Amino acid sequence: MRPLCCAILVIFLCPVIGYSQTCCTGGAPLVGTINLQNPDAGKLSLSISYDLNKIEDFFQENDKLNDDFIRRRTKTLFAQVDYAFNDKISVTMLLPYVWLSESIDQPGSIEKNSTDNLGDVTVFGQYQVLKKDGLSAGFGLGVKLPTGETKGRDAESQFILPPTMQSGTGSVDYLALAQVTARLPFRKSVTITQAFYYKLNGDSHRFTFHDRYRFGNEFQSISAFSDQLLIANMLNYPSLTLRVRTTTKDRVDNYDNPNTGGIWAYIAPGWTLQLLPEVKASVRYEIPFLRRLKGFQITTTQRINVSVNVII
Amino acid sequence: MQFQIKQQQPKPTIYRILVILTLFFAGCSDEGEDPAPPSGPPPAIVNIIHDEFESEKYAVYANSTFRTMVAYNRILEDGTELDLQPSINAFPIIFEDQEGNTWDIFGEATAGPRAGQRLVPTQAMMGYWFSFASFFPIVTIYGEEMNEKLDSEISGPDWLINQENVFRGAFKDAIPSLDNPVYQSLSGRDLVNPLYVNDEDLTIVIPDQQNLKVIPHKVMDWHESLNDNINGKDVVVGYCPLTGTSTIWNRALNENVLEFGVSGLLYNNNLILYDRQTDSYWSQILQRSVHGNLIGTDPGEINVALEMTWAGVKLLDKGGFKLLSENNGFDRNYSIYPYGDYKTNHERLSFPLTYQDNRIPNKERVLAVIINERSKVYRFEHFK
Repeated sequence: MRPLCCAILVIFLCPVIGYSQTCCTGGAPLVGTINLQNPDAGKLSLSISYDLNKIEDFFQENDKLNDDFIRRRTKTLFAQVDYAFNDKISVTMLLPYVWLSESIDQPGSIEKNSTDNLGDVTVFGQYQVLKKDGLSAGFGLGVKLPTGETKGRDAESQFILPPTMQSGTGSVDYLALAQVTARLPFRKSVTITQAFYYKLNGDSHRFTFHDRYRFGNEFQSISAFSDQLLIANMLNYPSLTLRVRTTTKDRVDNYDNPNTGGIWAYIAPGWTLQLLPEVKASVRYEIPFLRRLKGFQITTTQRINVSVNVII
Repeated sequence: MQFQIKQQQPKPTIYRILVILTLFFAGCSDEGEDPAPPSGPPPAIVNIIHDEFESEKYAVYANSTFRTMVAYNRILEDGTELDLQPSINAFPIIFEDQEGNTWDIFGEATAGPRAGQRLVPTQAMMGYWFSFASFFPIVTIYGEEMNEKLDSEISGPDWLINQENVFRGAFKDAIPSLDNPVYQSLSGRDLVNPLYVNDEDLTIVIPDQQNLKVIPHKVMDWHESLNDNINGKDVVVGYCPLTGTSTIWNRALNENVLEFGVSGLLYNNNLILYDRQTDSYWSQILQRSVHGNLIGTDPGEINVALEMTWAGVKLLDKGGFKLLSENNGFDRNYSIYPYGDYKTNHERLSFPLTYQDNRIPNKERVLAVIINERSKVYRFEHFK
């Protein structure tokens, strides 16, 4: 059985709310970070973020089970590069490196396994349609490439590791995103962002065992609120994000994987600190508050992300 | 040789009336087409077959209503060859013989000069056809030519099976075994009350002193290994949801009592257990350790697992029932089957097979008599 989890990290990098995303299906990041931050023309933005995804909530359909004998951790180090050719067009590339671990704690038996490898690289292009009077709108298209490991083996037994312990999906996936950002007219420091995101997944042969494996397509709605505060002569950006994610079931050859798909809703407070004019540091903490899942799944309990962003 | 006994027949008139009424009220009858044929449960098959395989003479009993098949040797320990014939008595009596004995589905003589004696079970197990076709180099289907595979499996020094065809579905103990199973005692009156097990649910039935222990597949779908003590013996009940096979082994070995967990490895989609004392790996269908310190070792004693639906179990009378409780320390809703349409989708397999034989649909549940690492397979339709 392949229990699945999927989560997306969102980091706030600046007053214009940007977020990074990675999706884990069975622990393997599927999507690179998409940073909506659009740097000034000719500027290069570099971000390094560290994401810890704690996965130990058991769900059977809509019921959270009182069981946590399997504990998974997905730790990901992201390197993200953004470059703006002009005020309207920019590109983003995201490179993840993933550490996966699983611990199974049964009476008289503790089983621990871990692995690490390069994840799937994502390249994303953005076009800014509108940017004036505190209102901006844009859209983007991207592709996730199957650079991650899909046939990693256990160092000791040499068996191919389960999908939950592979860092890649083995598929080429296509991404589309639309976003609107507005400042409140009565409090200009407050920014509201609404984004929609869709991922169309391609076929994978990642498990060798099947002619075709296709992860369920994914839709997300992300609503974010951010304010700007001056504390101790330093700009601070507290934020709150509401993220709703839905996926269809995975397809294996010509049938559905019954333990995949569902609806997740998360809330995520965050804080960004402007350390220097060109340097920001952020932290985010995300917890789920609603889950309507298909079949039996192990899913995210909580998630934390820290990041540093430098504009060159 | 087959023996026909009274079969339950469907009620075609009633079914036709129901179909006609349904079509009338639904207004869904297509002009120009013949009315739909009457639908309903297939005719019940209750019958026995006498057969001989690998020099063993045995009788196979099949009851499609309760989805059970079982095989017993016809030669008794004293050399007597029984002419087992279908019994006119009600289930669970299944045989009668030339001496005037009647035998129940557990192989126990319930009446006659041999009352209390037991037939010797023939080594056999029920499961999905593909599992036996992929495991055994020689598989014979009853009534058909023997089918010998040309390519044989290659094993290495560390494994009795080809390691290339062993796949990891999960890590060790990610599917948790039941090590201290709790049973719910039921008497006749309790059986009419709602239980988590339904009439059509398949179960493993094990006589335990004056009771019957009943282990539903729907629980074992989530645990696969159950360590227990039955009739004073330490046993492990293994059940593989991907091959639909059940086994009962004595786990006392060389004065040690082994405890079995689920390794997470699969060979031909079949469960590989491991024992927590020696970390040896055991193939469920081969019923042998295939890797580790105990490689090549057989379990202390192998018992044939009797399986049937809960509706059939309720007709058994052994004093009382001990139904495996759904409260076994794991928070699960056992009414949810975790594998989607796996049971009925013949095309759906989780991992590659060493050999695939399309003579029978993959997921058809058959009985495989297994002698000298050869297998002979019986389908319910053979008993028509």
